[in-house]
Amino acid sequence: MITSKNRISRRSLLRGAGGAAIGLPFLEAMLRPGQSHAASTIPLRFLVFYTPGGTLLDKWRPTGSESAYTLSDMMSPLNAWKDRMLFVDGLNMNITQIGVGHPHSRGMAGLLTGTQLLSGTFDTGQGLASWAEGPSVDQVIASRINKGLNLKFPSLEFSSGWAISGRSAGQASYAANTINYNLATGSTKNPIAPQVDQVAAFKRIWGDGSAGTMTGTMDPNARAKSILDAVQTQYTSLAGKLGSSDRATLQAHLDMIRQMEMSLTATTGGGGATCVTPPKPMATDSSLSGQMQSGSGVIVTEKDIPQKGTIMTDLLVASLACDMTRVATMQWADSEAKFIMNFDPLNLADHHHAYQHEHGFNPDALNKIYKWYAGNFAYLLQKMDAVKEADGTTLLDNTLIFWVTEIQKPDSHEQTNMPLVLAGKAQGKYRTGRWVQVPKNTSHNNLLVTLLNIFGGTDTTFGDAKYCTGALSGIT
Amino acid sequence: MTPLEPMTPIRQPRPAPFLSLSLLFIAATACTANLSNPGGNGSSSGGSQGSGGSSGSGNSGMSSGSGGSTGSGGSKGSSNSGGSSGSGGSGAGTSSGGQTGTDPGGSGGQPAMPLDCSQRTPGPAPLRRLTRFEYSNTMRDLLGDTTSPGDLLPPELKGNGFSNDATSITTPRLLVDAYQSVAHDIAARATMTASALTKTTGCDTSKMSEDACSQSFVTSFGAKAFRRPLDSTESAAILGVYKAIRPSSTYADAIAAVIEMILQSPQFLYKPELGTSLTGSTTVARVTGYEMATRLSYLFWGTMPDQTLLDAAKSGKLDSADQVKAQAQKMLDDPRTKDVLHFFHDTWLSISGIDGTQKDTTWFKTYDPSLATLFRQETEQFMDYVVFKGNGDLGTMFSAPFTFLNAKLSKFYGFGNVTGDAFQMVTTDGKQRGGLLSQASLLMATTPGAHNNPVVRGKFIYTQLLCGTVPDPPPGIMFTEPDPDSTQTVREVFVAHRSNPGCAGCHMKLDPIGFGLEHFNGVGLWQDQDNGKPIDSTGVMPDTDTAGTFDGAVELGKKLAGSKDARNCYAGKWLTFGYGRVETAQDGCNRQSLQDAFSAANGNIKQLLVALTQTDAFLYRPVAQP
Repeated sequence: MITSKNRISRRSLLRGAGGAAIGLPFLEAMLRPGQSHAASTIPLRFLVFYTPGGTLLDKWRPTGSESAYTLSDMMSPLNAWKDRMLFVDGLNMNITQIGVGHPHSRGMAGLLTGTQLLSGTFDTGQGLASWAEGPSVDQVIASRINKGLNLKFPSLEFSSGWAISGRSAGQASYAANTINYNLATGSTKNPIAPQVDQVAAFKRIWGDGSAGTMTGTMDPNARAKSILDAVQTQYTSLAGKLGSSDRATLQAHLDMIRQMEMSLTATTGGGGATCVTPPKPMATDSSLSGQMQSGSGVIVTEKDIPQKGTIMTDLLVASLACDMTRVATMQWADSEAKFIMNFDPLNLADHHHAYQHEHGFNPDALNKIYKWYAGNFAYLLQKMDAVKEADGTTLLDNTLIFWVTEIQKPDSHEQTNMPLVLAGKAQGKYRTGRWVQVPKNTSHNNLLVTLLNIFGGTDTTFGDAKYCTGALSGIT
Repeated sequence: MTPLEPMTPIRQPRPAPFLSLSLLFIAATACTANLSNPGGNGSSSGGSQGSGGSSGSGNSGMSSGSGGSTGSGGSKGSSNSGGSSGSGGSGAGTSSGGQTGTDPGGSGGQPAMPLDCSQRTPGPAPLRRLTRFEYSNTMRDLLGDTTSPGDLLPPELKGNGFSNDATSITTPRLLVDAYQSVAHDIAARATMTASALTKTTGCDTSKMSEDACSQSFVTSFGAKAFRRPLDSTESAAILGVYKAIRPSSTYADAIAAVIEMILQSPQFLYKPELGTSLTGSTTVARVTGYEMATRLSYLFWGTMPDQTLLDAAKSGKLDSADQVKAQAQKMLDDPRTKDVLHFFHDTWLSISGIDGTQKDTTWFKTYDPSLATLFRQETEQFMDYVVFKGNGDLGTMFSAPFTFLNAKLSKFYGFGNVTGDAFQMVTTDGKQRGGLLSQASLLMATTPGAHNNPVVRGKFIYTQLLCGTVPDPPPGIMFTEPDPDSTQTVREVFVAHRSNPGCAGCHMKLDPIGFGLEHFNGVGLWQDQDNGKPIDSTGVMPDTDTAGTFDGAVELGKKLAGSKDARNCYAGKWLTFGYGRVETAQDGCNRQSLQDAFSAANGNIKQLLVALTQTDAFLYRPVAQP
């Protein structure tokens, strides 16, 4: 961490050999605490990382002092990254006190939106729910930072497996599985389902060469544009003939087509990071690849979760590196977590939810599971740090990562003292390398406000204002 | 966590010398709200919060829902022990305290108001979009694509239980990208070779000019895809795509571009209805002939109208209720109906995803995952027979003394002596098995783990087959499934539900239903004993017109077969699925019409499906609010 003691003064820079000004690479040590790269042209990215089922709080929680903290064995995969993390200890997800549905679902809804889960028709196991009331912080950030840009995707959402277990299985149970919500169109909420198939995701982001014409020489983008222009006229024309509510449905669709069409001429590589198109992924063995397993609540073995998660993580990092988007989410499976963890390195006989409480709270098994998730997070950080930006910094230096989960305590579903973590240097826009213990009963909405502020917003509230008292101090 | 449906996967058996149940709950909220059967609410039952009996059970719980609440209308007749006032959720402004059916309500209920069905009340008709199922079928019939491209689209919201609720349509970027990508690939395949091109366009450019071919293709293919003739603006726009691409590319590619445009247009992806005005009404309209053709073909066949239907539409033969009825009857005799019947029933019975299910071989030594597909097919073959060749009625589905097995299934079950891969009818003994409730598909789908769970089975029967509503568990309840106990039967293990006052209210009613199926294990095999003790399969239905005791699946099946509540419930499910939404308070007359027709037909399923086309909801639509 940089304090005024070890900050190199300008004089020491300028007094290079022979007194000449020397073009030194920008040394981190010259940053004043809290100062970003002066006029950095490198874009700041935002990334959400989700793991299900909370944590073992006593093992998640660091020991030591605020800026000299130690991680437990469970969190030890992250030891190399401590200086680029911030443990936010003690926030409550108070918004889940209202709304409908099971704590898992309410947690998913409230996590990034800071709003309640509304009632509807999806059976969460404790009430029928629909969607979160408000948009998620990543989508709000995206809508702001994307202004004036023409990125291929406003955001990208990846998962290692989604709606694959429990009552969610097979048919999108947004309430239980969605953390990302686009800005609403009128009164229609816009939950975002992540990509679930790595082959399809790759094709969507990088194409497979088939976008071109078969034998013609027409520019594929011009060709696509001709088609999409004509398609759009159909939406406009038909919408005009329908009633207001149906018109809104078509308008929402039209908006997306417009967005897709604009992305044809997206300027990728604008971020300046070293972009390497990832290798085209293979389909994994899993029968769940590419399509939802229809639901009867039956749990299936998902041996491919680790492999798929790794591939999706790689695709996510490459998407950021290639400036396909600047906002992304990585979801490790679904909140019901009823997939059996009988894969390496866990080799557990039962499913995650079973160890949370369903077959008896099992802290030994949970320890292994949460350590494995910590390892997956470390993998992400390592991949991000291996991508070089134009100015010699790394992608990790220019990203803010938000690690979230929908409950804290696996057996009681408590949503107080949420184990939330920030990671990445984020261009120095927050003070990393610390374990921050926040005042009791602070709502996590406050942290969401802080995230917005880090991205240049002047917000003083986010989500449900009744559960927000302003930005969280002690972070930036 | 789902306290009522603990999900047990493959588990190691744990030695447990005594019962160990840990039930921990924060609120000692008495689950005394009555279970109620409001005469069928489809799948969006009211979900009252179960806080004390005073909430009056039934659908009172959802009344404060904001946004998305779709509380289906209130009690619609038939026994309603909860005395529900039938106030459905606040859903989108449609609930209005619930019209009650013509049957007297249960004790304590509001006096039943006779329905006034003199005015046409179609109910809402929100814009519908092709579901993944329909999208795949339509691509098959429009372009011969058999790759099930619907599977590449993002999943649909479960919503009304059939994933086709038009009010929960959203359009994420991922979906739009997928539509484009699929359209591109399908169009490429359809134009890749000269023969494919000729087949797709229906004309041969060695005999006709490209201009003429492209023109005729746009007209004919466009009409098929949009399910009605194009108007001149549409033709011009579509031909415009051809003209924009052709100069810089090949004829084949330009045709492909036309296909891509059409497959992403709203006239293809959605089912817009402009309607045609009805004399004497400004609020209700008829649908046009072509719109009716689309309604019929997607309802019964899950796909686009065929030429016969389009011709009927064109010649005004789909304009009257009788004409629609005649068409429906013809369609129902067509084997294409099987697709939809399978989809509906598999979803209703929760067996649509059982293929490949893994079960613990410690407990199910003769089971392997390939059997799951056969279980589903057994039920489908059974239902095909009953509907198309047999009695055709719902009662038979519940109580028929036969099933359909092939060699592998026959060997697995241990009866029938069937040889060969083909399914054959096998009579059952009428004592152990008969009808849906004794088929492995259902029995496995209601046994998430290694051990029977009477709560899951009881809840399934009560809510899915009888449309009973079950209040939510008290909030904060933590459930840990009981350890498999080697000295107790399942029945004995679950007794704690009833000894605990916070749980007894509901579980006294649910568990005894499930106990009736105890002779069947988690893969549908008969068992005489449970942990060395003889199985007691006596069960109790708590209410509805099947109330009372029974012993085993066959007796339960007979109860359901004779049950008007079961019949009404089934009719309501078809309303939901058939009209692609949830039932609303405006649907009282639509429901009554279906229930009456079903009843008059003694539960004949085809007759119910015909009746689906004779309601206000099907023949009319509301005039759009600008």
